[in-house]
Amino acid sequence: MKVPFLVALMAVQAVWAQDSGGLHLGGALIQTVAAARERTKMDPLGLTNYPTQEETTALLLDGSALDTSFTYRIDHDQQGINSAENKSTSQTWHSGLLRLKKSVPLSDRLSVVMGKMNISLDDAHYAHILDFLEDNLSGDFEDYAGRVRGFPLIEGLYSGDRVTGQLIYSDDRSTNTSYRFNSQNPGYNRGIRQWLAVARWSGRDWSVSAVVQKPQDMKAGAGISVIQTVDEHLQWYGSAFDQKGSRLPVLQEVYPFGGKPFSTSDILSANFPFQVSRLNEDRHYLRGMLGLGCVSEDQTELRFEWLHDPRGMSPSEFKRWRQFVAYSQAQPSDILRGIGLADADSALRVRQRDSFLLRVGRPLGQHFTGAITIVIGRQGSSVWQWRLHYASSSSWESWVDISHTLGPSGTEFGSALQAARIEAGLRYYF
Amino acid sequence: MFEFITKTFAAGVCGVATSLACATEPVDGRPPATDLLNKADAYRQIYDNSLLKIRLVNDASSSPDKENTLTVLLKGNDKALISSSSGVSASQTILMTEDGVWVKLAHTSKVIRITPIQRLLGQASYGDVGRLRWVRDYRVEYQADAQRRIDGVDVWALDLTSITPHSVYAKIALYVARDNGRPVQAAFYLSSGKLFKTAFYDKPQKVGSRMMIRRTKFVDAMVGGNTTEMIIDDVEPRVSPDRIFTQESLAQ
Repeated sequence: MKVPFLVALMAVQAVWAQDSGGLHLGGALIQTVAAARERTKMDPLGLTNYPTQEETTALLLDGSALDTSFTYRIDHDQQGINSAENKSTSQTWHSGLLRLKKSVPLSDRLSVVMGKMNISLDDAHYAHILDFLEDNLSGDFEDYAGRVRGFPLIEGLYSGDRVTGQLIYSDDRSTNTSYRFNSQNPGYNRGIRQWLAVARWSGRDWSVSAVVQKPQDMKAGAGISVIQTVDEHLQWYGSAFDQKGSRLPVLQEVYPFGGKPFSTSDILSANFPFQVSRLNEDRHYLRGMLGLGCVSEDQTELRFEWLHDPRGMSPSEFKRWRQFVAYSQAQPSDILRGIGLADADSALRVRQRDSFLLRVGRPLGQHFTGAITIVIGRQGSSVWQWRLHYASSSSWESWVDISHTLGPSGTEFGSALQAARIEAGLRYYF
Repeated sequence: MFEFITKTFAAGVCGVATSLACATEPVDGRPPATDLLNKADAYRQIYDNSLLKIRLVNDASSSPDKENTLTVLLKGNDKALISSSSGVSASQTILMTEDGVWVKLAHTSKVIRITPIQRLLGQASYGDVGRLRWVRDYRVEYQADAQRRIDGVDVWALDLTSITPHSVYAKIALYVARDNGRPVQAAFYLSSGKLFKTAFYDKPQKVGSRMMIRRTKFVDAMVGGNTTEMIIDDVEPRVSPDRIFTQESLAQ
């Protein structure tokens, strides 16, 4: 089935990969293959339906003319689940607009931008605090796989010599957010209407931004982002954001305010996973991050980021989580045990209160780049990601990612459903 | 009191006059080093505001990389917008201002502020493409052994030392032709003192009524002598609006 698909894509390439009358068309063909190993102990019934094998072929079409540009994605996804309780495969076609930008200059300083796009408001590479308009798909910072989708928005932009201002309105309610366990929406920023006002000052070696965000269903929050280039090798950066309430829900079993003792009826609740909304809480959640980046003369890059996010589980909440896991494991009924553990697993997908990221990367000869990224979580458990990237010519590149967790059972990453994953990818440009 | 003011004023006038004389009159047949640097800059950037089409051709025998095509918008001495339009870095854009350097990554809308040492264009650094004038970023003086002969050309040997804290190169040894001031060769050094690369400048060609160096060969000293040619295929005067030289516009 793949062969005619690829032939069709190459035909599209032949016709479209050229300049024609001011319209520039190009794109990329992306093939990824992935396999994962799961801790079935955390999902004995296979309720999460996380694929253990996945193969995706995607076509990205990029176009631009005058002040308008777009990226459209068509993909074919084949997923397989191979657990003791669940063996199945599925094939699906998707297509959709990833990005669309139309810029209308009003004067030398003022412009209006509209379309579907991502706007990065902080300087973090991984631990984003001001991620309201970003798809934070873990592990693929450069988006080699071409999965990042924009947000529908309209933006008024003032560009001064050192000061810029943005007023942004985004309405993403048309986006389907009913993903299983929210896997495609880790920041919980999708599917909402929001206003943002951003002011940025850039001076020699410094940039400082202030952000106010007002979601449709929450109180407004305010934040700041700072970056300084210390010398030709070294940068530090940080961000903070404070808001009443939280977009990230929490399992009732670990909820700190008024969480009732869990019971069998909780586990069997139809509202699965059993989450409590914190949207309209009166409590302030002040989250922040600090980062340090260093590049040596031989282009070795060292990056460190610390994230503190009180929306994640505190030590006492994590203790309650472990109690819930033990309670679920002790259930005599398979169905109760399975639902409870899958429910507990979903809680681990919400970002944790404190985490540390360390990344070391460097070129390996002319074409290879190697990188190791380590995220250290609670009780010393960690996620390791090994990446080898190969840019072999001016028109294609490939990569291999291997990620795995380390840590004893009961620790944050030692309990995560996904124990290891390998992904290989190829991206061909036309 | 009046006599003191008069003497001070007279001494000041003499001092200024002497300085001016030093700046404009050749000493021992040497033109002022700053004049030479201005001339060398004029061969590299012929218009204050311009649009350049540049090709970077990697000559490394082991490398299948052929070409990277760049579009460069220059505004004055300190603003540049470099867009890659081919290959794996297509749609990667680099913004350089006097305040810093930002890059929009190739596949995303993410804009990150980078350190000057980071190389993003293969063997050529963004500074080689986006900073075509040195005079504002470097202090210039003659080398001790100032009169040399390189590839059959009599040259003045100059030392350029960065006066901005985060220039790409801490020092440049620049050799300019004695007859017309065109750059012939330059060696680029990092702050550690390591030789980073050497540039060999082709003879200037006529562009309109001006002379411009359109071909430069960079030999990398850090990565086994790989060479990259920077070829300016096209240059035209172009005044770009200020709004495009901002981080926010880069993301668009």
